[in-house]
Amino acid sequence: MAEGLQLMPVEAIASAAGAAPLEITVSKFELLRELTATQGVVERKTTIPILSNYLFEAAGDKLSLTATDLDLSLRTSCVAKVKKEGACTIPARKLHDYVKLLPDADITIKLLENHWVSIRCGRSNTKMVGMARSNFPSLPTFPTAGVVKIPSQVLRSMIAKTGFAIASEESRYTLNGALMVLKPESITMVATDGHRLAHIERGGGKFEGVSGEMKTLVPKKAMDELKSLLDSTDAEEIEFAKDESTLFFRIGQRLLTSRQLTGQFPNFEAVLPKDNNKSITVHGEELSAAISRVAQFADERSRAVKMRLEKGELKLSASSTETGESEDSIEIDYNGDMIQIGFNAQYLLDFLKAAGNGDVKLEFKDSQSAGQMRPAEGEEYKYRYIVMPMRI
Amino acid sequence: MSVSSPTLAPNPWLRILDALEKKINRHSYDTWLKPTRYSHSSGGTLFVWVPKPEFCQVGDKYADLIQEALDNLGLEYQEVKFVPPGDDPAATPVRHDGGLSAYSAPATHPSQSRFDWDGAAQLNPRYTFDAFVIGSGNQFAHAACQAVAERPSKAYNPLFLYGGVGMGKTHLMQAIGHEISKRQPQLGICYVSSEKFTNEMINSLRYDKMTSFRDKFRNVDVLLVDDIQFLAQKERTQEEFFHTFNALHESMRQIVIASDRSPKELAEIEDRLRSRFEWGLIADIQAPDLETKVAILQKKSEQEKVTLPTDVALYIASNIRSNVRELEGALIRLVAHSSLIGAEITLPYTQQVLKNFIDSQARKVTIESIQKSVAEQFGLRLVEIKAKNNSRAIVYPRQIAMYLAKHLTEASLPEIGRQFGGKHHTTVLHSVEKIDGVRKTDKDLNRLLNKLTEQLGG
Repeated sequence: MAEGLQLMPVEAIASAAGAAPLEITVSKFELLRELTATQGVVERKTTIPILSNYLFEAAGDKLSLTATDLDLSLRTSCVAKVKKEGACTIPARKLHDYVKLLPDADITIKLLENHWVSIRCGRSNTKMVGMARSNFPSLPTFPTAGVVKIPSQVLRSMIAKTGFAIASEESRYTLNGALMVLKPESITMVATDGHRLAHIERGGGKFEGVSGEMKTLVPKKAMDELKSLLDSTDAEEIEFAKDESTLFFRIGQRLLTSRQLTGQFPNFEAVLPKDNNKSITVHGEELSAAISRVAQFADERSRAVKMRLEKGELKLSASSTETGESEDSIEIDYNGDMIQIGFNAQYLLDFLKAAGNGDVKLEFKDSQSAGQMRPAEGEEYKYRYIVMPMRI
Repeated sequence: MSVSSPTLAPNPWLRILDALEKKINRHSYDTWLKPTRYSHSSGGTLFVWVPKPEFCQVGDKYADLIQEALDNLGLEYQEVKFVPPGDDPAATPVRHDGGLSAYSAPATHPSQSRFDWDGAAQLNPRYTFDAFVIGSGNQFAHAACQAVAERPSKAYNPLFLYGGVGMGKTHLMQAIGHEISKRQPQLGICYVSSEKFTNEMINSLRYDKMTSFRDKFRNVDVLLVDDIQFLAQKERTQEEFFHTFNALHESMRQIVIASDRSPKELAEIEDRLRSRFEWGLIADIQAPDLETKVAILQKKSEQEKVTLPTDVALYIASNIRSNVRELEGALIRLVAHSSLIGAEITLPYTQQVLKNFIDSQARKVTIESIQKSVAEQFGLRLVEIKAKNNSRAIVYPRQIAMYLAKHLTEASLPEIGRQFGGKHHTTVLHSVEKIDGVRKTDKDLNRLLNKLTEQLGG
């Protein structure tokens, strides 16, 4: 809820611009870029009207934009000619859609009476209905101590390989978030929805500012935003910090804050398989293609496919009363006992997509135990994926 | 031919199944035979389709009965073969037009298993239905538990089990957990003692983590709560449990509760909770009779891979009068002793090894035994000691009995008063103090008290 945000002091840059009516000129290109980057944070349906608006603050030679849904907030900025310092709020979606349609020229934004905002660009002249800047929630301040620098590409890769496994709605036993564990020499990320678990670890780094083990639960929405921000940034490192209630991620000139998740991350170490003695190595893409094909004929709801390991052959099959049945097989180097095990096809495909090209190693124990999958080559990442089977 | 239409004659396997159904208990029949299907016949062999490879053992298990059915029905098959799907192409169900049937498995819905973070894994692997010895004292409770395990939230909800110490409540409760997780792996099972529930709640309150506490307990599919009597006087916990109970019950999730006494006797639990316990089925577990105790000992010794002669089993069973836990304790003591010394288990050996164990058993002092001893000593009848009669001849022995009761048992003054026919606790206190004083000066009384104390084994 709002507690974390409203109680914190307002940032210096904003307070200076509190009373005065802002007037700025900014290039469409710059503005649109920032508007697009922050759209994801604004909630479509919100009961609090001010949250549908951006907060614009102008000071010095910068225009700062802030968007928030009370759990997550994103603050960014771009270069602007500030004629009069000040602040205002503008409907986020409407502004984005409108600015997109403007020509590539300079846009002049001016706060008018009654919180209306004038937007001029070329021959286009618009006045939008805004809201009082004072209604906008204040943001927490980035902590001065305990800041950890994480290489952007590392974090980006880890999120890509685990984010999909986070539970998508309020489901039992798990949190709607991933666990990030920072140690002086390594970073680990774990995500699960109770049926499958993705775990990735990268050692060999040096994370200053981390003593012992720093565990953080990152909410799903924050993970998603982080991913988009990391995808579009040039910054080599991101700065991460947290206080009792908030997480902070500073990427370049953008600051993402997120309410911390309360609760206990499930005891995932207890379910990491230890004695999966039946293993094979297959080509990831080949397996993915085969699964996709047979999955076309799997029961729509459960998406159950059967995997059968035999000497020299991996058989995949699926069937449903409505559509029929399909079988596929892959040649494998396997000489162990036969095992037949069912899985949700989507869970398998999610991993194979994240694992990328190359071979993957599949390790099983029996038809009731979790299977483990990982890329065959070590690389600098230790990536493993554990899936619970289906009883078919 | 996996569908039998009313106009067609039943296939041979169906006829055999019919015969078997009458001879096999419903539970086993439903589990092992009902899911099988007739496949085809060829060359004097009857092929039966089974859903999983494990079912192939059905042939061995019921070989005699199947043969009997074949003979009685006059079916001429040399053998019956059980074939799992995919194994033998010849066994795949074939339609009348010769094509492969599109759906070769019976309609068991695929169910996604989940990680077992901290649910069913907590269950003691020894506490399964298989390991439970059924006797007249626990038959009803056992049947109720099985029903719940087979159809969670549809049979009896809530299920309230109660019985004295060491009667098997926890065993049965956890057996439900094991069974459900076996049959329906997608269900989340949580086993807690009410003490753990209380502690977790207190912790969550303290660290402001009530949301995740509620998340945990209100989202399970099966909640097994042991020793509910420990919620007595814990108002906040009872309130939380009340809400948890409602949340689960309303969303058709199974609740099983174990207690050391019936709901009506749970005096210090709120009415609204108590009444909820009485909503479903209440099953009590009584002390096992001699035969059951012998069976338990034999089963347990089998598990420990030790041969227990019948006379030894009878001896232990007859002399351990209290609960199953003590029974098993005696057995473990015996087995350990014999394996450490390397001695053979015989009756004389057992009598020697368990001498103190059994002695201490027999000597458990109760208020009643005190009353009996004192009454005997003074030539009175038990009823007189407990009566309201205040004549000197009865008061004095009564005071002695109360004194001994206070010193030899754990009973409180009010409890003693109740046992003596509803005497006020101050009366008891007065008696205790009086006798205490007199014994210091009266040597005869002192000697008498010592004698009685020794007799009673305190």
